[in-house]
Amino acid sequence: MEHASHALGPVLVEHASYLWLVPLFPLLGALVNVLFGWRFERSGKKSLVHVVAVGAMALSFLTAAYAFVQMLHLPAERRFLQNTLWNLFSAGRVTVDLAFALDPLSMMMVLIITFIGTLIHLFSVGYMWEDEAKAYWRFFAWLNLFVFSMLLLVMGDNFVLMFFGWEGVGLCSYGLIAFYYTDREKAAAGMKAFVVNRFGDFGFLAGLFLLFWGLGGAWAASCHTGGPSYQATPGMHSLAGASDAAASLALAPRVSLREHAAPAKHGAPAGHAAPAEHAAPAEHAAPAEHAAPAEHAVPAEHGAAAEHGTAPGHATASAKGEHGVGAQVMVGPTLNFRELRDQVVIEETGIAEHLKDQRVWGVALLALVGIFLFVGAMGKSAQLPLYVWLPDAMAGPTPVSALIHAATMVTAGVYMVARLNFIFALSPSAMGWVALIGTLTAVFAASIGFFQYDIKKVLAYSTVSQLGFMFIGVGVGVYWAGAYHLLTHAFFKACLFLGSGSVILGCHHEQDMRKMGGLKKYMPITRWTYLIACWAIAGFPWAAGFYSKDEILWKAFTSEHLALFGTATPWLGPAIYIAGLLAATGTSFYMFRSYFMTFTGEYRGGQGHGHEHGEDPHASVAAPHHADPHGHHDAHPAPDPAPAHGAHGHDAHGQAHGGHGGHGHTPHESPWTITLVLVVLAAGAVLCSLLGLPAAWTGHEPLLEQWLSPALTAEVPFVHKPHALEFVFQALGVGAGAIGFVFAWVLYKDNKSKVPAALKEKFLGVWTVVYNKYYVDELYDLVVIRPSLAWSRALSWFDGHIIDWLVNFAGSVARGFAGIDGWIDKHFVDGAVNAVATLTIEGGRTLRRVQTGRIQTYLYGALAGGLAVILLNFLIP
Amino acid sequence: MEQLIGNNLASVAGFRPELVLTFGSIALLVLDLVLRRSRSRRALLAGAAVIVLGLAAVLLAAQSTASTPLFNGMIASDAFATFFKWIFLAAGFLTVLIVAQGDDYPSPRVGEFYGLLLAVVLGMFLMASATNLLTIYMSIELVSMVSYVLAGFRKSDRKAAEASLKYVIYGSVASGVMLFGMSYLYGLLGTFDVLAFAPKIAELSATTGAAGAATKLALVVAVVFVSSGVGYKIASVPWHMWCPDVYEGAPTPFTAFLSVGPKAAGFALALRFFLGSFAGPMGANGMAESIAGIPWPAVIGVLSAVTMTLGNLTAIAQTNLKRLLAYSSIAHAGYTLMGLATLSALGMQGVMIYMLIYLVMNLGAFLVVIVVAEATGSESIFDYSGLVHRHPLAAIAFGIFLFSLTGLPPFAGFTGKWYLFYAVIERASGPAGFWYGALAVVGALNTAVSLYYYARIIRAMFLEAPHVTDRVAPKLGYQLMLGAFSAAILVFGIWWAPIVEWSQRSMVMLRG
Repeated sequence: MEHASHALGPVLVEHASYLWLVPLFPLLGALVNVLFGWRFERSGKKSLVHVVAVGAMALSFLTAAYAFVQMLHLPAERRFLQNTLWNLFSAGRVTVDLAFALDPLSMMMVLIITFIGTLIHLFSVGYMWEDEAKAYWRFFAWLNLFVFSMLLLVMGDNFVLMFFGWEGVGLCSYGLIAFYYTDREKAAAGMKAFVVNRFGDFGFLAGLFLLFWGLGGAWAASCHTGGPSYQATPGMHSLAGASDAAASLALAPRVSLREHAAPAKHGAPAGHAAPAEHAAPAEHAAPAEHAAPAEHAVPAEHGAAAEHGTAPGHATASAKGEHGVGAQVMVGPTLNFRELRDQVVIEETGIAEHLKDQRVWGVALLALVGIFLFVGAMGKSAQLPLYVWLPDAMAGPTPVSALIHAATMVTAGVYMVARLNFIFALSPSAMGWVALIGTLTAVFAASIGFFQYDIKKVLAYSTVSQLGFMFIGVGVGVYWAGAYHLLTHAFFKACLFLGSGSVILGCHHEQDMRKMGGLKKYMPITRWTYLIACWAIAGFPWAAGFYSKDEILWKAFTSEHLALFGTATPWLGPAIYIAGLLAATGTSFYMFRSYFMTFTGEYRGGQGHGHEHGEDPHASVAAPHHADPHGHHDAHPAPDPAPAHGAHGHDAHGQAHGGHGGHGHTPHESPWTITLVLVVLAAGAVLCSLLGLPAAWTGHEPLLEQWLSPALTAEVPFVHKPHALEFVFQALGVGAGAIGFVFAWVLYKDNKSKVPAALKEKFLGVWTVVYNKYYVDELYDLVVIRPSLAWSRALSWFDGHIIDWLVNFAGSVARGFAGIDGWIDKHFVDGAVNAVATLTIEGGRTLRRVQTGRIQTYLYGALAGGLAVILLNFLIP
Repeated sequence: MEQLIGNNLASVAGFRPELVLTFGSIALLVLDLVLRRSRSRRALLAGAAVIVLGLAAVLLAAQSTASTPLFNGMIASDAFATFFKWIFLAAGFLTVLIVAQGDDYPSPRVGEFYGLLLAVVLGMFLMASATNLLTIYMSIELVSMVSYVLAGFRKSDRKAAEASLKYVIYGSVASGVMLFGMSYLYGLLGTFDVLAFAPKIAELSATTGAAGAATKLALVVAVVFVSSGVGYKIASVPWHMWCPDVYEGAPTPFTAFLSVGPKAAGFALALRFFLGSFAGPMGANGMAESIAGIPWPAVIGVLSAVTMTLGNLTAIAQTNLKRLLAYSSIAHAGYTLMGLATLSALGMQGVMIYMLIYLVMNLGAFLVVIVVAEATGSESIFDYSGLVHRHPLAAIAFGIFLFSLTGLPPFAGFTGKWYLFYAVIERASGPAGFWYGALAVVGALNTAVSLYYYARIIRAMFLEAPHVTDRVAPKLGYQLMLGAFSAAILVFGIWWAPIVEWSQRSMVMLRG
């Protein structure tokens, strides 16, 4: 990151009024399927369900692609598309709009989400068509809704929308994990994901509030030195003492700092206030003048601007000349990413310095902010110790695992850290923690992957481990590489997951790799794509994983910015490098292990090959295996739901083998909707490498780094090492992958070797511990779940005994009072009321009831209350 | 003299909606007699009432919102009053729609009901714009008197008759106390003109010593007594006790009207009375201070806390839905009082927004009660079990209203509470901030408590098996209204800019 950040100006916004369409399409798709999906299904037009869902995704992708093209045509510093729909709420100085924004980083995310999302929707058509849950529409509705939420998370222009998306993807994730909710265990997995993520969300919110609060301090403190009349919002006053640093820079809240003809010198009190405090910047299309609710009610001319204007020491920060006259920077607490970025990134505002100085309970505020936000990321992106939900999340259908639990949602944490790079980069301690946790997770999860037999579990732990790598990237400050790994991972891991899905479908819902083997001859396409993806994840050159992982580890090694507990830790970078290398070796090992166990050797699945089906005219993509010399003629007719073929084909299919359980146990290649997707993803996993060819090879910055640089402005120092060393490290990386590969080859090729079993016997203790995932789940059970259950039992006892007793007691007291009241009634009031009663002829009967009623009490009450209120006037000073 | 008359005549131009309501009310009573034999009498009368309200609406829309005193300063015409007048018109209109379809008001007398309802609307119009103690008293009495009649409309219904009688007694005492307080005020200040109070009070507070203390006591007593009239209209502690009985006893459509219309009118009156004459002008930051050292914001803050706590705690134990909603409406008066206690522009806006949203969600809630009562004849929570199976729309709509009443996003109730709480929190960093902070905390706790009893209904509707199998089949009109109300709640829960802007524009109040 050699961009000189001192030249940074405010984000220049380009309006793109169509951005809202990108999330709208999936939302509409979900709505249509929720409202009509079951009708489609019942009326035999089941294929309409996926036509709607896939169509919505495709439209969304096309819109995103259009935005991408528009962005490509803009000069780099103007690549910020924005679209404000309307104001959601504004309270005081904080304005939250329903607005979408795309910068190069979120553009990348949106393309990943919509492109891979479309592919996975397409894959799901083949995968879910005959699913036993009989809820085709529910699946696609959830999936579309998920994409909508994910787009909201990524495209939201402010924290509020991001948080909506953040919760939305969580919700859809739970819904899809627990898709087979009739299965208790799977429903429980959804619950687990929910609970663990609540913890993460707490961290996210806490970090957000702290940041918000810290920003408030920045101007509130200065306001105290400047304008005494200003009433700051709550929490601001506790920050006395911090004012000195900012005093010379005294900034008015949310003042638009304008460039003046003679730029004020940095920090000098030019006494030249921005004239129109409430002049919302032009890009703020919010219809009302939010900042001044008082405006109309106040007869005195709305004086905030004037007052601030006369405040001494009220300086104008000027943006750098090249950004032109009229550049504005909003200062103060904000929920808007752009406003946050501008005030932190632009040095003249002094906000960054101010934030660095602030401390809470003796801890640097920014470190706390970073760590809390990272806790949120830990939950969503499954890092130690909050990763436990992700392996269980494999209970959901496989496309869900691929889309949500590999390619998109779980990377939200990485995205969040990368998006807030300018905040994290200010605090080496926060960065250190992110990198450290990422490293630990990468190694830890990789080791669990060694001995798993469930193919999806292997991939799940692999995902956790790879997410660890991404966090190493964003942790050490090489944000673009973290994002790059996110991108490559999205391709190869989606490919692996979908490959496993294809395998699972081919093996008739078998997930245990011990019951697979030899699939390469039944499922050639799946096999090749899986192998390519393995190649990519293991980090061999010419597939994308190599470049991203290598860049991350190289930068980790050369990083010199990390700290823990506020002390610099120069050893951390190399340590991370070594651990990362270990994890990479492990990754290569378990991935090729899964490949060899699944695709080589002899098929160990169920017996019985018979059960001929008719030729399936649609399975042309899978044709090669018909020529299989073994004669295992598998012609499981592809459930080809392509709309063109209509319902007819399916009916025929259904009759042909009468349900899923009926046909033979020979594995079979999947239909074209599945294999096509696999091929595209595998191609992507290779082609993505072009985006990240290292500078050491090409002599210029990697394409993706150039692309992302406007969004990733944080400047993090790295030690400069010669290119030669970088080549050595790349060789080491490839060597690590090769070692893993060789071990996997020797031990698991064709599943003939007896060594694994022998080793397992020899190290049974270690094996058991690792196989049982280090007993972390059990630990959680012991430390978290049981105490909570005990606590809830205690509460319920308390409720049953103490509270009920209190309620009964209150009841008795009330009865007692009623008795007294009745007595008063009877002896004092009746006479008076009786007199009224005789006067009222019509209401006579009623009045008798009133006699014993309580109207008198009411009046006494009102009287006593009134007197109490009068008294209160004198009690209050 | 001529000038007085001239002003009165000129003022008629700004009084046209009220005139329409006045003559409309009379016309309906006449029409009731004319159409005595008509077969489609119900529809015609409802139509006539809607036409009167519509005409008033048209004239209201055409009227300028510039702040002008009318009738020699007896009432004011300004944007603030107009905002509330729209609320009243909406409340009246929706009540007519509900009554027209229901059977709470029997055909032979439904014309009387409409006529009287229009009179109540007129009274509320005056409440929102009264700037003189006399008009204040008159308008409150107009609303009260007619309300007594409407609450006890079904003479044969003992419960209604009892409710009405209690209402009469309670209301008379309250207005008597208010008059007493007004007499004090007049004695102290020598004028009925509310807008002229502020300078006189400032003069009075210059007196020191024993005389000063006595003056202050008299002033406080007077203000508290006057506010008893207002407090009784908005059902705030300690003037709330009539509320559950009357709400339970009165025919449900009128209860619904009572819970939104007069409450809003009471708040409009209170805002004008307190902000207009017992507070200094608002500063640049949108905050004012009370004058003459009377700590009425603090007093109102205490009342607010007590009101919402009492309302919510009592509501927990209720099993009759109308009673439950009555206590809930007391609690909501408490929340809304928070906005009054802040004595700031934001608080004022909060009250206005809240009353507008409360109109929709509370009317909606009562509408569900009507719908269920028409099917089962019961208002008990037990007959709501499994409502979602018996009529999904009613159950879902009720769920939306209840969540909105709780103040959960993304329902409109959240919007309203947001502004009220924000106003309080804005104050929490100023002088006496601790107490405002405490008020906000009490408010938040109360919201949590209220969730408990609202959620009880929701649980009954959605999770419990129906133990009554009576079919709930609301009339189409009811269904449409439920749908429209729910939609409004949802829309304003995520897109409230129009409400906020409108209330923002409407914060201009005639001042002395």
